[in-house]
Amino acid sequence: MANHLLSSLVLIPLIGSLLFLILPLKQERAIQWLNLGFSLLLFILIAFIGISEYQNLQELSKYGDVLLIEKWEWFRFSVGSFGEVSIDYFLGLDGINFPLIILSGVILVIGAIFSFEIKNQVKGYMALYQLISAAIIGSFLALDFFLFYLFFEFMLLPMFFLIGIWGGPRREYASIKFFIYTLFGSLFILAAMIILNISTFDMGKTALESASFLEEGLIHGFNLFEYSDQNSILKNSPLDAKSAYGFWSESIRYWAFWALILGFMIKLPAVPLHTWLPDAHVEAPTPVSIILAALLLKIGAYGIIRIALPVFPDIFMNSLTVLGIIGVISIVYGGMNALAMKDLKKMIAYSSVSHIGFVLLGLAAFNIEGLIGANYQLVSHGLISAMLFILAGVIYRRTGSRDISHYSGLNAKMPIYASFTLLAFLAGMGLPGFSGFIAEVLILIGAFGASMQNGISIWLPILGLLGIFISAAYFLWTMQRMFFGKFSLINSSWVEKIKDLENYEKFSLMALVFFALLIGIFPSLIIDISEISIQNLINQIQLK
Amino acid sequence: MAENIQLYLSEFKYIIPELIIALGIIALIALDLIFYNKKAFLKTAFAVIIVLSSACSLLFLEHSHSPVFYNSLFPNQPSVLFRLLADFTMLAVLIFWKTTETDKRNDTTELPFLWLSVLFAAHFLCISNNWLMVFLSIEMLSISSYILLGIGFKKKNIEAAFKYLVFGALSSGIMVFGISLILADVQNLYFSGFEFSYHAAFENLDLMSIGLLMAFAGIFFKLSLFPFHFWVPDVYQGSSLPFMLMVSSIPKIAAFGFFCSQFLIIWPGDVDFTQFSNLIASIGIISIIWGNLSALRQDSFARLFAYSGIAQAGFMILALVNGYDGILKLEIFLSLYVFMNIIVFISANQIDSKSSNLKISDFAGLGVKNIFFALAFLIAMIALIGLPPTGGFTAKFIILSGLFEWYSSVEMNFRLIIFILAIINVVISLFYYLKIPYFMFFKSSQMPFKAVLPINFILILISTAILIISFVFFSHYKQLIIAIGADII
Repeated sequence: MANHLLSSLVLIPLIGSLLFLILPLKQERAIQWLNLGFSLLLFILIAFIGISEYQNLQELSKYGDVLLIEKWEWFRFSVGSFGEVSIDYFLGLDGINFPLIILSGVILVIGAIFSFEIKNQVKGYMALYQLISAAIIGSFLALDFFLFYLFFEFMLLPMFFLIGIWGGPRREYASIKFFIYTLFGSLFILAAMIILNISTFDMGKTALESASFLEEGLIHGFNLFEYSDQNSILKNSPLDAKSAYGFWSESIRYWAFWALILGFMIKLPAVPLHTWLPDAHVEAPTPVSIILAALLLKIGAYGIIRIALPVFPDIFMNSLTVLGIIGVISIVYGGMNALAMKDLKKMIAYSSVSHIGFVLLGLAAFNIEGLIGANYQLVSHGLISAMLFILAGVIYRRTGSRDISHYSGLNAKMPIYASFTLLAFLAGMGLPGFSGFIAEVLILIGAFGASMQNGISIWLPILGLLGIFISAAYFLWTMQRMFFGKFSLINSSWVEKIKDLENYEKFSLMALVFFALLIGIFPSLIIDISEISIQNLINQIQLK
Repeated sequence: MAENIQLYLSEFKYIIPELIIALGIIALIALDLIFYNKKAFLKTAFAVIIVLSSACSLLFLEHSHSPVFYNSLFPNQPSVLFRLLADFTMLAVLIFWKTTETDKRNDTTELPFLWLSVLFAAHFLCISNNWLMVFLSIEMLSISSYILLGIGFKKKNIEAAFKYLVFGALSSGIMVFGISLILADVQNLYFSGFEFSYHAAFENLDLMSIGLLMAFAGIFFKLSLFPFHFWVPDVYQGSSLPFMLMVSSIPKIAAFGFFCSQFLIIWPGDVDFTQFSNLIASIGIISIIWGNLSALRQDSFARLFAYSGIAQAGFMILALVNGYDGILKLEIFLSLYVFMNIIVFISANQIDSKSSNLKISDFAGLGVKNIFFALAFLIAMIALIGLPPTGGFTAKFIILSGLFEWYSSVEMNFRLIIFILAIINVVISLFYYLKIPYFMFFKSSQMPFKAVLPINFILILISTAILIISFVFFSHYKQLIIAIGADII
C-alpha cells in the first residue's frame, strides 16, 4: 500500500471525475457534496502523508533522493541507430514539491467548497474540477519530464472549459486566450524536452541493461535527476557544450534553456507574457479563479526550479541578471497596473503578477536564501491569492459588480467581510506575522546578498522593495475606497442584497488565514524541509 | 512450361486477400444480374463480408520474402499493416455509407462495386514492386474515385469529380513521363530483384533522379502533398461524408503503404539518404504550413478538414526523414489517424445542416444535445492537434523527436528550422481544430439532432476507445503494430 500512496493522490480525483460522468446522479446537491467528499479525501491523504513523512523529508542526503518513490517503465521505442527511448512512470516526494502538495490539498478543498456556487451543468463542472485536481497533483509529483509534460498539458483543456462554460460575459475570449498562450508556451517546453531526450542518455538504465556505451545500446530517458547530472550529456550531441551545433551564433543548449524558461514564464506569468491572466481571472468563476491563482501559476515557477535550473545550471547562472530584471519588471509593472485598476478582481490579478515577480527575483539571487524564499513565496502566495479571490467573489455574487468605485463604506453593512478583507490585504502587503512577510524578506535578503557577491545588480532588490510599497498603496487605497467613509452604493436596489459573509465563506477564509498565520509565525515548518532539498540541489549543481 | 505454371500457382497463396476482393467484385456483378435494382441491402452486406474475409485472410497470410509474379508484386510483411488498415477503413466506409444512404437512385450495384475496386487498387498499390504496377494501381484507385464522386448526379458532385479528374490526369501524365525516363535510364522498372538504381538516382543528379521525382507526382497526388494538393478542398466540398472518410484515409494508406513497404524498405545501406530526406522534409513542412494557414480561414466543415488533411499528410511524411527507422512511427500515426477520421466524419453526419454545405457553426449546441458525440468529437480534435490523453499525442511526439534526431545526425540549420516550424504549426492547428468544440460547448442552437444508428454509435465508441487506450497502453499498442507489420530484418 505504502508504495502506491502518491499514485492514489492522482487516481482519487481521476476516479472521481469518471464517476461524475458515469453515475446517473440527478440531484445537484448530491453531486456537490460528493465533489467536496473527494477533495476532502484527497486532503486527508495528503495530510497523512505530510505527517508521516515530515521527519524523513529532513533526512534526504542528496539531490535525487525522494520519498515514497514509484517508478516503473511505461513504454519504450527504438530510435534506430540512436538506441532506445524509454519513458517512465516516476513519482516522488522531496522538499521542493512537498510544500506545494500540501498547498494543493488545502486549496482544492476550498475550491470544492466554493463550487457549491455553480448552478448550471453541475455534473460536467464537477467532472472537470476533479480532472484538473488530478493534473495539478500529478504535475507536482512527476519526476519524469515526459510525465510532467503530460500532466502540464492535461491541465489546459479542463481549464479551458471551466472558464469557457461557467465564466463571466467575456468568457469565450478569455478561455481561448488562456488556451492559446499556455499551449504556445508548452510547445516550447516540448521542444526542449525532445532536445534533452535525444542528446542525453539515462546512465542508470544503460549501465543496467546494455554491455557497451556505444550508440546503439544507449537508452534515452526523461528522468529529471539524470538530466541534472552533466555526465549524462552525450559527446557531440547538440547539447554538448563543445559540439559544433548552434543556431544564430548561440549554442543549442542556450536555446533549449530559453525555450524552457519562455514556456514556464507564460504559465507563471511574467511581464510581458502576462496578458492572459487578468482576462482569465476576471471571467473565471470564483472557485476556478482560486485554483488558477493558487495552484496553476505555481506550476510555472515549480517547473523553473525543478527543471530549468538543475538541467542547465551553467546557462542559468549566466542569465541571472535577465531573470532578475524580468522579475523586477513584473513586480513593479504588476503593482502599477494594480494601482490603476477599477475592477477589484483585475486589481487582485495584477497583484498576483506582482507577487509572482518576487519568485523570479529569488531565483535570480541564486543563493540558498533566495531559492528558499522563492519556494516559500509559492506557498504563501497560494494561500493569500486564494483569500483575495474569495473576497472578490463574495461581493460579485451579491451585486453582480466588481467595480471598486461602485461601493463605499461597506464596513457599516458587512463588518465581518471588511475585517477579513483587511486581514487578507495586510497579508498581501507582507505584514510581519503573515506568510508573505517571511517570503519577501527571504527573497530580498537573498537578492541583496547576491548583489554583495558579484551576483545581480543592487538595483534589482531595491526596485523589489519599491514593489512592496506599491502593494501597500493599492491594497490600502482599495480598502479606503470600498470600506471606509459613508455607506453608499451606486445602485440603491443593492442594499437588500448586501449581506455579510455566510458560514462557508467564513469557514474558508478562516482556514486560509489560519494557514497563512501558521506558516508566517512558524516559518520553520516549511523552511526546514525545503532547505535540505534546495541545499542538495545547490550542491549537485556546484559539483560540476 | 508446366513448371512455370506450377510456380505461378504456388505464388497465388501470397495474394489471397486481393483474390478474395477480385472474386467478390465479380460475384457482385453476378448478383446484380440476378437481382437487378433489388436487394440493395444484400449487396452491401455481401461487400462487407468480402472486406471482412479479406481482412481475416490477411491476418493468417503467409508472407513472401522475395518478389513474386516475375517481380511485379512483393506482398511482404510490412505491407500487411497497410492493407489491413485499408480494409478496416473500407469496412467503416461501407457501413457508414449504407446508413447515410437516402437517395433511392443511388441504390444500385455500382457503388459497392466501386468501393471494392478502390480497396482492390489500394491493396495492389501496397504490394506493387514495379513502376508499371504502381501506375496501374494509382489509376484504378483514381478512376473508381472519380466515378464514386460524380455518381451523386448533383451539380456540385459533377464539378468536384471533374476537378479531381483534371488534377489526377495531370499528375498521372507527369508520373508516366517520369517512369519512362526511369525506363530509359536503367532499362527496367523493378524495385528489387533487378538492380533498381538508387545509386544512380541519389548520388548524381541525372536523368534518373529527374525521372524519379516526376514519378513521385502520382504518389504525392494521392497523399495530397504539396505541390499536388490543389484538388483536395474542392473534392471534399463536393462529396458526401462517406466519400470524405474514404478519400481522407485510403489513398494515404495506400500511398504510404507503397512508400514504406516497397520503396524505403529496400533502400541500400550505402546510399546517402541526406538529399532525399531533405526533399521529403521540405515537401512535408510546406504542406503543413500551407494546409494549416489555409484551414485557419475556413468556415465550411469540408474545406476545413480538407486543408487539415493536407497538413496531417505533411506531418506523416516527416516521420520518414530517418528512412527505415521512421516506418514504425508512421504506421502508429497513420493507424490512429484513421480512427480520428472515423469519429470526425461519422459524428458530422449527426448534424442537420440548413444549407447543402455543412458549416462549422452548425455544430453549435452539440455539447448539450448529445454529450456522447460531442465528447467523442472533442477527443478526435485533441488527437488531431496532438494533445494528451490521446494516442495522437504520443504519435506526434515520437515523430517530432525523430525530427530532432534527424537534425542531430547531421548538423544543418535547415533541419533545425524544420523541427521548430513543425512544433509551431501545432499551435496554428489548434486555432482551427478548436473551432468546432468551441461551437459545440460554448454556443447553443435550436437545430434538431438526428437519431443515432447503433452501428454508427459502435464505430465511434470503438474509435474513441482506441484513441485513449493507445495512449495509456502505448507500449502494447506499439507491440501490436509491430506484430502485424513487422519489418523483414
